[in-house]
Amino acid sequence: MWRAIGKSVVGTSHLKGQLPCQDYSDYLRCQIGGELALVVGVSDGAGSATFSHLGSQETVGVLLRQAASWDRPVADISREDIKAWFANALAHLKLVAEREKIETKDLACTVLVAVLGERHAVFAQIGDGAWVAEANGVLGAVTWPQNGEFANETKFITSPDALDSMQFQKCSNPLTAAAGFTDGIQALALNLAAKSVHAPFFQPLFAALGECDDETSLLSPLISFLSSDRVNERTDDDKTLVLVRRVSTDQIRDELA
Amino acid sequence: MEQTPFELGKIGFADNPEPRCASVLLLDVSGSMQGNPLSELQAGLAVYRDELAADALARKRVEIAVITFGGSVDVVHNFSTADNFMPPTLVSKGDTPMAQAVLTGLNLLDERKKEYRQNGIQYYRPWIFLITDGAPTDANTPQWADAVEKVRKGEDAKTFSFFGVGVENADMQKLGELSKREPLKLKGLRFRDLFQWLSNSQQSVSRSTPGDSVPLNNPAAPDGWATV
Repeated sequence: MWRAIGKSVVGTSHLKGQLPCQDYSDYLRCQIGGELALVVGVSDGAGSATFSHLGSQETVGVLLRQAASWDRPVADISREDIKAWFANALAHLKLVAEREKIETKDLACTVLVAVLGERHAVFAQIGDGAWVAEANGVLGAVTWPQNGEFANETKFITSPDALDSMQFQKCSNPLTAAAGFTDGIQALALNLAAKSVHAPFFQPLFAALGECDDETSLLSPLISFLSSDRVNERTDDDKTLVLVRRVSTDQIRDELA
Repeated sequence: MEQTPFELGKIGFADNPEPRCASVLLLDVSGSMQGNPLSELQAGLAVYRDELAADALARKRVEIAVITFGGSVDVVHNFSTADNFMPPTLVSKGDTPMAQAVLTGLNLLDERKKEYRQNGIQYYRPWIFLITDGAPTDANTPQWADAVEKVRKGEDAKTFSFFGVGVENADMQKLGELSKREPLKLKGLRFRDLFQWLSNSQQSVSRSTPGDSVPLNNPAAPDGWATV
């Protein structure tokens, strides 16, 4: 059983430029192949793409629907399966582009998806941002931001070789917590030189998620945190952070008692 | 209801170095620059420093190196971030070893990029900005062909952006051999406008994130500082 909390918050440069929040994130709980799973989607619309806020929303929507309709155990999800989901998401973006009379590249966005089951979990990503996960008390990076040589280059789902560059990880160690985020959070949450996860960023967040009575009570504190001056001093970009934590069914039963 | 949200103060941030945008200035200080051109160029450098230093992000991200060529080629200011940039005092002398200056600049840039990579510092596409009022006096040496080839290759591979700017009676044709981009001819001695433009452009680049297009104002527009 997974607890989850997440939000995409507009960056100060987007507010200044009167741009919409181009990040988008969502998650849902569903029965997948007989197990209760949590599906998470995160996307960062490209700054240069005029309709990328739409691209990120549509991409996350399609992926959640794809994952929810999976009818075998989470352990069976392969790299090729997720590639097929991403290919479907891209096909959907082409339809959206036709409908809106724009080009597909106007919907350019990164994409991060995770399916967390009772024992197994899969993570995939195109572009920057990252997934981190905790197992046996150790927090590590599951995927890593994909940048080109230069800091302002990355891959989008609409890029020509996007599917080939997809990162994929399957974890069969039962995870205790995980988080997905966009590049707005990257410099705070990762040690880029050491290629490691900055644990002091996540530990208090995971602790709060584990200790709270009702995770929805954490939504407004999360929004305040993501909009705080302390965060905005370090990034003027949109920022998304989705946190998930496993709680045992026993713990839920205790809480209900 | 108990209010125990995240204890925000407890969340520790990773302290990553800022991504850098390297800017190499190759400045002609040969004898013919003496007088007004040199003093206006000097004033332009001060504008450049002031503009970058006033931008909270750019002053930590734009890194400037200055190489002069006049009689000899001298690295008069090695890379430093804009908040530590002290414009050097320019002194005019001698001939115009432009090719040697270009090669020195490219080497300096390569070294810097190596340091970025070794230290896990992300960087933007670097800029090389050459300003001259003359013609290369080393155009008949193998260095010239070498410089031309390296600049072309670098531009083609998008490893840097190279801009050539001619002042007054500069040999625009020779400058054109170097830069793939059409060389720009400075209007009069409008160095201050040039450096204002350069700092504005680099401010935009240094805050761009993946997928941003960073359109540069056309310096050759009617109200710009250059003609082509």
